[in-house]
Amino acid sequence: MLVMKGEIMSFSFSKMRSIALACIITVLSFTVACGNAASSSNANTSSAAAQLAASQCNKSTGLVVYSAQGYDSDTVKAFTRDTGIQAQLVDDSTGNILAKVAAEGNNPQWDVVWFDGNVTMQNLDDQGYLLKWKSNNISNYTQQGQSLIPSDYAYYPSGLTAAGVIIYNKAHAPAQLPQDWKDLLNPAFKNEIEMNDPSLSGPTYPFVAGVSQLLGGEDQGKNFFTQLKANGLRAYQTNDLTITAVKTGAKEFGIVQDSAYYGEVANGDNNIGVIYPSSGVAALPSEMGIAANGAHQACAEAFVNYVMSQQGQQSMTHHDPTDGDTYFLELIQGVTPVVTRQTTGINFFNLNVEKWASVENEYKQWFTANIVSGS
Amino acid sequence: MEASMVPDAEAEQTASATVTALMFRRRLLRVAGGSLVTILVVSALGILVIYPLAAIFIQSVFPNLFALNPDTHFSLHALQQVFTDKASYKSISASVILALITSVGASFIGVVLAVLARRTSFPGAKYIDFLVWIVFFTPSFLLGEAWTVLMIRDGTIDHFIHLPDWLINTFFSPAGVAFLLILKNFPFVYLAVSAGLVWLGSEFEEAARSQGASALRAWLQINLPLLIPAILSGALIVFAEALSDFGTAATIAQNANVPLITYQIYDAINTFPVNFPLAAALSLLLFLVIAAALLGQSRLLRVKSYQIISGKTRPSVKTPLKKWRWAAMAFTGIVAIFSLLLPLSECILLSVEHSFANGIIPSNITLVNYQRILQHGSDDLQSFGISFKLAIAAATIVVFSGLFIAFLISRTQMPGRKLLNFTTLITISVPGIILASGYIFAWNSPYLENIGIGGRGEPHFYGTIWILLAAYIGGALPYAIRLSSGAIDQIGESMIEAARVQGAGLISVVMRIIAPIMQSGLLNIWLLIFTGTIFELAASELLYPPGQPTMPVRITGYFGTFRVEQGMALAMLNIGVVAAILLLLRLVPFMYQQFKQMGAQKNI
Repeated sequence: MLVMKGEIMSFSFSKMRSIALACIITVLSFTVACGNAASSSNANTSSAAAQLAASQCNKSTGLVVYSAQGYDSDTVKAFTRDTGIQAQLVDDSTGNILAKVAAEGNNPQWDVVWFDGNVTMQNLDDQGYLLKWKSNNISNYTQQGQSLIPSDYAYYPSGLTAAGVIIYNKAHAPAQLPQDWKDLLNPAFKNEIEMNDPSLSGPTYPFVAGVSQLLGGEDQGKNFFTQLKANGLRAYQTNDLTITAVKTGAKEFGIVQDSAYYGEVANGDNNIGVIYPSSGVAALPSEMGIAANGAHQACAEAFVNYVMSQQGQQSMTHHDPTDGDTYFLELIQGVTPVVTRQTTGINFFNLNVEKWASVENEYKQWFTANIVSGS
Repeated sequence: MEASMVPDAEAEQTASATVTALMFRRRLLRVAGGSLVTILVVSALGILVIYPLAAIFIQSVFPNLFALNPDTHFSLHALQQVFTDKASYKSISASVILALITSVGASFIGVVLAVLARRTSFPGAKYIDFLVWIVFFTPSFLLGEAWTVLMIRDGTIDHFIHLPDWLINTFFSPAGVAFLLILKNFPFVYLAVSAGLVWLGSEFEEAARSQGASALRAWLQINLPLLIPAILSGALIVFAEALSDFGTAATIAQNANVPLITYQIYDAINTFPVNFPLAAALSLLLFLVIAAALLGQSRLLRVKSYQIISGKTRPSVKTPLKKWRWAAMAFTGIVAIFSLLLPLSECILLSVEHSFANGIIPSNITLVNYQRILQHGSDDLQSFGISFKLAIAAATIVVFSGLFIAFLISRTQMPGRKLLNFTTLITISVPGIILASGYIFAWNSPYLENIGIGGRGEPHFYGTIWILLAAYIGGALPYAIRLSSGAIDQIGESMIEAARVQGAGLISVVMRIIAPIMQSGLLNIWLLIFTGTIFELAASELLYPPGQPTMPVRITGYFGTFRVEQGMALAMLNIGVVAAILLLLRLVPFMYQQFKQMGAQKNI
C-alpha cells in the first residue's frame, strides 16, 4: 500500500524542504487566521458590552442557545427570520449540555438552555444558574401550561410529553395487557419488562419519580422497583436499546418517553403499541431557562417569549414528522398540531419538582446499585 | 523553524567555505533553532494537553475551584469517596481485565496480519492494507449500532439462523465488548508492526535459517522478539483505548454485573448537579493504571536493545506461501468479515430501510432516508466542510509535531522527557468527555481575562473553531507520538551519531534522517489522524462552536432523535466520500510512479 520500499531511499532533500515549508506556511496561515478571528470577535464583544448597558437586545450579536430538542434548529432559524435577531445553536444530548453548563460555571457562554425535564431544570435553579424573570407571555399558556410554571419564574415550559409509558410488541402480545404500573408485577410478565437507566437517560428519572409519587413516596417507589427487578426487570443504558428490544420482540414490554414511541411509529414501525397506565403518567415538559450571568439576557428573553408564541410554536409543530420530538402536546393556546398522536385518555399529573430534585442524586445512586447492576 | 531552515539550505551550497566565524554563526543558529523548536513543541503540548488535564485533576482536591462561586477550599472528600469505596475497585478491575484481553487479542490479529501483508504473498494479501484502513476510520459509534441490530433476538442474523440464548447473552456482556474493541483497535498494532517490519531486513532470519532453523522458528525466535517495541507501542494504545471506552460498553454490555469505570465517570458528569471532583478522582484511577502499564513496558524494553536499522540494512523479501496459504486466506477472510463486512453491510442495510424492525422485505427497502438527508443537505454540507478542513489541519500539524516530540523523548537527554512520554498515554486513557471538559475549564475561566482572553471585548478561544482544532490536536498528538516512537526506537544510534558528528542540529536530524526513513509510516499516521478527526465525537460534542456542528455531531443527532435509519444514510454518504478521498490519495502517488517508470523506459 503506502509502503514502497524503493521510494524511501530516493526521497530527496528538496522534497523534504518543501514539506517543511508547507508545514511553516500552514502554521503561519493559522496564526494569521486566528488573529483575524480574534479581532472580529473583539469587535462583536465590545459592542455587546455597549448594548448590555442599555439592557436591550442587540440584534447582530444576538444570543446562544444550548438545546437537546429535535426541532431546535428549525426554531432558531425561524426566530432569526421573524425577529432579525441572530441566534447560534449548540444542539447536543441533555447529558452533554449539563456537563457543558456546569463546566462553564460562572462564565456562561450560553444564554438559553432548552431540554426535557422540569426536575433537572429545578436542580439548575437550586444551584443558582438560572435568571428569575416574569414573562409577559404567560397568558398565552393553557391551564395545564400555567400549572407547570414554577413560582420563582426561573424556567418556562414549551411543550409536553409523558415521562414514561408502556410500549409492547403487538405480534407477541399476551391476551391480557397490563393496564397500570402495578400490573407489571404479574408473574406472567416475568423477564419481559425493560426500561432505561435513569443515570444515563434524561426522561427516565422523572418516570421513576412519578411512579414513586403515585405510590406514596420514595420508599414505596424503591420497593416497587425492587419487586419489578425480582420479576426480571432489566434496565438498559440507552433508549435505543430499550426500543430495539421491544421492536424485535426480544422483550415484550418497555417503558419509554411517549414521544420516542410516536417517532418509531412515524418511521414505519407498525409493530408496537402503547399503553397509558390508568393511575397516571408524570408530565414531562420541555423547559427553557436563561443564564443568570448571561451576556445577552434581553435577547434570551426575546427568544423564550418567541417560543411561547403561536408563531414560535409553528416551527416546532411543522418540524420533521419522522422526529419523535415533534409529537409533543401543546401548552400554548391556539396551536394546532400538524402530526397526529393520542391526545385523550391520558391521565397526566405534575411532579412535586422541588422534592424530587432534592433527592435526585441519592435516588439515582440507589437505582444504579440495586436495579441496574448485579442482575 | 523558518530561521533554522535557511542556514541549513545555504550549508549545502557553501560546504567548502572555510571561514571559521561563519561556521560558528551557523552552529549557533542551528542550536538556537533546535532549542526554539523544542520550546515550541513542548509548550504546545503543555497548552494543549497538560494544562487542560491539570484543570480537571486539580478539582479532585480543590472541588470549588471552578464552581459557580469559586473558592480555594481544599478537600480530600472526592478522593476518599473513590479510594475507600469497594465499588470503584471492582469497576477499575473490570475495566483493566477488559483492556488486557482487548490488547492481547488486538496484538494477535495485528501482528499476524502485518506479517502476512508485509512478508508473505498469497491471493488477497494486497487487500489487507485496504481492509485495515476502512476498519480504522469506521467510527465506533456506528459499529455499536450495527452489531446490536445484528445480534439481538429477532435481529438480522437471528432472522436467518436461530441464535441460541447463550450466544446472545454472551455477546451483550463484557465479552462482546472485548470482541468489538479487538476488532476495532487491532489496526493500531498492525500499523506499529508494519512500520517496524519495513526496516527489519531479512538478514536476521536468513542467518538463522542458514544455521538450519525452520522459517517458522526463525520468525518466532528471531524476528518476533525484535518486533517487541513495535508490538508494545501498539498494544499500549489499544490498552488505553479500551480502558477509556464508553460508547461500545454502553451499547453492548447490557448483561454486565459490574459497571465499568467509565460508566461511573459519565454518571458523575451527565446529571445535575454535575460532580466534576468525583469524575476527576475516578480519572485518577485510570491514571494509576496507565502509569503501571507504562512502567511495565519500559522494564521489558530495558532488558536489551532492539535497534535494527543500521544504515546497512538489506531489503527484506516476501515469502510466497504454499500449503499455508489457505490458512492465511482464511484468517484474513474471517477478520475481514467480522471487523468490516458484517457491520458495514448492516449499516448500509439500515440506511435503506424504513424501519429495521420490519425486517428485510421488499416493502421495507427504500431510498427515502437518502432523499431526506439530501433535502436538508446544505447544513450537512457545511458540517462536512468544517470536519474536513479541521481534519486536514489537525493531521498535518500533529504528524510533524508528534515526530519531533517522539524524537525528543527517545533520543535526547532533555529533562522531563519521561514525564512527556507519560502525559501522552494519560491523554489516551482519559475518556474524551473528560479531556473536553478540561478544555472548557482551562479556556473559559474568568481568570484568563487578566491575560486578555475571553473577557468582554477580548478575543475568545473557547466557543471558536480554534479550540476544536486545538482539542483535535491535543487528542491526536499522543497517538502520533506513540506510533512514531515505536519506529524511532528501531533506528540505530550510529546513524544519528554520524549526523551529529558532522554538525547536524536537531531539525536536520529529524527532517533529513528520521522523517525520510519513516516516510511511509508518517503518511500512515497522517491518514490515521485525518480519518480519526473527521469522525471524532467526544471533543466535537462538547466544544463545537455554536451554529457550526461537525459531521459526527449531526449523525449522532439523528440517532438521538430515533432516526437511526436517516443517521445511517448520512454516515454512509460520509464514509463514501472519505473512502473516495483515501483511494485518490493512494492512487495518485501510484500513478505518478507508473508514469515516471514509463518515462524512464522511453529514455533507455
